Amino acid sequence: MLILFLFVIIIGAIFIAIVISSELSKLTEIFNRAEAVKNQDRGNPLERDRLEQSVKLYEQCNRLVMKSPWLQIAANFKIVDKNTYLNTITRLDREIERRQHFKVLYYQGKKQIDDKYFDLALANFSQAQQLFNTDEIALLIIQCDSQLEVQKKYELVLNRAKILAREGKFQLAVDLLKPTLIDFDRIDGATLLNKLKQAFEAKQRFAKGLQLERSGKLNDAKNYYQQVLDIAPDLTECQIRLAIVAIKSGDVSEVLSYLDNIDGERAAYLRGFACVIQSNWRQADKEWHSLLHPEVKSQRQHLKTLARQDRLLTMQKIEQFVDDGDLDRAKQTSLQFISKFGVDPLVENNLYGHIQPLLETHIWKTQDWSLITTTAEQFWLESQDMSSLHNWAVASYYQAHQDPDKIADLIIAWSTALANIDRDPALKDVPWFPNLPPDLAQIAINLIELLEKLIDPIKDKNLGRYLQLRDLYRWQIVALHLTKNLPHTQVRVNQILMLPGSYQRHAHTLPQSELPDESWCRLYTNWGPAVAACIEGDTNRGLQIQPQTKPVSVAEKSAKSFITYHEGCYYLQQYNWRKAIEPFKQVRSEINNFPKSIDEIDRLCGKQRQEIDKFEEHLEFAQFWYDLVASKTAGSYLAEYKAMQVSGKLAEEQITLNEGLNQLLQLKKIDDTNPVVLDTIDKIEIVQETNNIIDLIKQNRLEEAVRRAKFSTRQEVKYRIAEILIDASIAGARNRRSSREEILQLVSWAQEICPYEPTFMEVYHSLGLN
Amino acid sequence: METNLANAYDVLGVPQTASNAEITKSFALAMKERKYSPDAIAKARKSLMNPEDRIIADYLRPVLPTIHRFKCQDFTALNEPVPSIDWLSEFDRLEETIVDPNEVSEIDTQLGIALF
Repeated sequence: MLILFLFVIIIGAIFIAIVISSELSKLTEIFNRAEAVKNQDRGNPLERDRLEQSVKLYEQCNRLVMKSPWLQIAANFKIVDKNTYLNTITRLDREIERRQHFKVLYYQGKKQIDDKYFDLALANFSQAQQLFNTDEIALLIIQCDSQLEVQKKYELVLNRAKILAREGKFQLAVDLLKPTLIDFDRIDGATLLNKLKQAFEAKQRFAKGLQLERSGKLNDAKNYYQQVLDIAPDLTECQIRLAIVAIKSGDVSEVLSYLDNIDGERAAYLRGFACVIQSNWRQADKEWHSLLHPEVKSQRQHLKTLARQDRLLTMQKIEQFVDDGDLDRAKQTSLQFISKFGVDPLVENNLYGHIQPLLETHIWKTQDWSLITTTAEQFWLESQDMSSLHNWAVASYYQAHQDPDKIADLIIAWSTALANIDRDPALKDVPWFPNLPPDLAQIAINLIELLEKLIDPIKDKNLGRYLQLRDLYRWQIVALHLTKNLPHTQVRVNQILMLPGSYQRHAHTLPQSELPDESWCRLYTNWGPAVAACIEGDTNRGLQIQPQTKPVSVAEKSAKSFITYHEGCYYLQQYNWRKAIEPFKQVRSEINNFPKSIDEIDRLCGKQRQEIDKFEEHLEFAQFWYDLVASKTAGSYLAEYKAMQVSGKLAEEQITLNEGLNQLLQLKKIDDTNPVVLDTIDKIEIVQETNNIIDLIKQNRLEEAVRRAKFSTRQEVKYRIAEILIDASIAGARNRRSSREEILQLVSWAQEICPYEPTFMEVYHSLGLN
Repeated sequence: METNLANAYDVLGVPQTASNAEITKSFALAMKERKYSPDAIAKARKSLMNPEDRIIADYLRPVLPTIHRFKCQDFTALNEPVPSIDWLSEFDRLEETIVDPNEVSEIDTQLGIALF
């Protein structure tokens, strides 16, 4: 035994030695390669490749030691020195960093020599020399030193030339710079010389412009001045000359654009003079307010008289237009007056108390419904009050009677007017009406009927057009009903509720704020008609008319999701659940936001379920339904079919009892009261318990088996074990292998387990057991 | 106005305040005048005699504002002489700006500042 033990120890030691030796030889091989690569480095500070390669190999050695337990043992016995690698890596890294720094300094210096900045190059090379004192660096330093004096002289000339240029002494600057550049041609000198050429150019063109202006060739002068501005855009004198040329040539509107942000008396005078020509007295006075010139001061006095005269002339014009019956021009001139001179009570009262009412009354008398409707809509946009909205709706009604192409306009105006019927002045204080308030709901119903009477005849003439009108009509009516129930959350202009049609029609003219993230806002987007169709249960039409563009705003995205949700419901209604998968997938996270969506999906899925025959499809559909809403009904359905699937697999022995039980326990989490799941779990547990007891019997641990069966809570287990015992007793009696005592014992155990089982009673009695 | 477009009040030529008796009277008059077809006149009468229809006829009328009197302005001040505002050549300075090209001018200084 001892020999064997020693043998094993020796074999083990040999094995360890072989492994360590193998690992060591691998380590040595990498280490040798690292050393060889390192030794190939020739110390050139511009080269780093070999050092970097050898660092990688040292790191490999270090990793090998850290990873291998055998090499760790070797390290513990000092056969391998881990620190050697780490120290070498640190040393080499430092060297690589030094060379990198050197390289940067070297190339920067070289570039500076090329650019003729020898002082900067010298500084860089001196720093580089501190790192590596190479022959080349020493030569470069000498080269820089030799050029420093020349560079200094050049820079003195350059600076002097710049000062001369800034003083406007361009020729002197050129004379100074040009010869220097022959000896020392640096880029900043060449750039300065080019700029000086541009300055000459600008100077010449400006002089030419002045000559042309003097000779009255104002357009040519303007061209030359513009060319000067192309070279020097901020040249104030040139901008002022352009403004003067504009005044001289009568292009007063251009003056202000030339003088924008220019300070000084001349610019202020020119701006004021341009305002005078434009009869903008107030602005002219503002511009001249700070001018000290005595002539300007006296001209400012004239401004007041001119302004008064201008006001009176404009008022006279208004009066004349009214006298001539030209109310449109009277209105326009009144508005211009208010905009120019500010609010004047007389002009304003005449406009809103006389001109505007007369204009409206006259227009209604024309019976030109196209003109009346256009004007009424314009008045509505200007006034944004109930009277003008009412008039627009009524005018649209008569116009649509004349021209069915205008029914769409009528739907928009009519529905918004109806949305505000409670504030409609036409139904207030009706003189013949009893003192009771009118039944607005009934009136609204009757007015909607009038609208429908106009739409319905289109059906026989043009079905496509009819459907479009119905879409528009439905959109407004759905919004009307929905927003009536949400009094505080609608789009309003001056307290007037806007329905989606007028909201969109006047999007650019009436004040609007961004739609909030609320469900009713979906109707105010371009998806509104489709949303309304879905709300009304006409999802098929909604899908047809929804925009094909990508939703952008929050409200648009919400509207699109709403339609997509209804698309899913629509396919379920059609018993085509597979087509519903994609739309529901797109809105999965938003489904809870849609009212009663879970109940609706449960209802539709319940109906779809009735249409499915195949077991596999039931399984797929149940999973889809459960994934979609995870409702109790969906869970119960899924659990039931999954349990049936587990039963099937067990029956075909595709899975073990334990696997089956685990799967069923998972299903219990989905629906813990599902009878199919619970029943299948119970069956498996019966089989498992029975098998366990049978195993005890097979192991001849009969008493333990009997005890387990006796105390089992499952009648099926008790019966099965008692049956086995009785079968064994009968078999023993038949083949005479068992003694009477043994037979009696077996039956007695069976009776202990199932004392009252009628099937076994005969056997109990036959052996005298009660 | 087309017959089917006319408001019942306009067909019978009665104001909104009209009583049933006035409507009946106007109906007879309208039939005599024949500005509209007898059918339209009959319809208008029926409509105005039925409160449910009459309120719709009320609704289908424009709500027009009251026309106030136009108030005139006194324009006698327009007879006063109108002063004129003339261009002040001091602000032009064209001649002063034209200088000898060899001299360093104001524009050169401005160019120097603008470009350098």
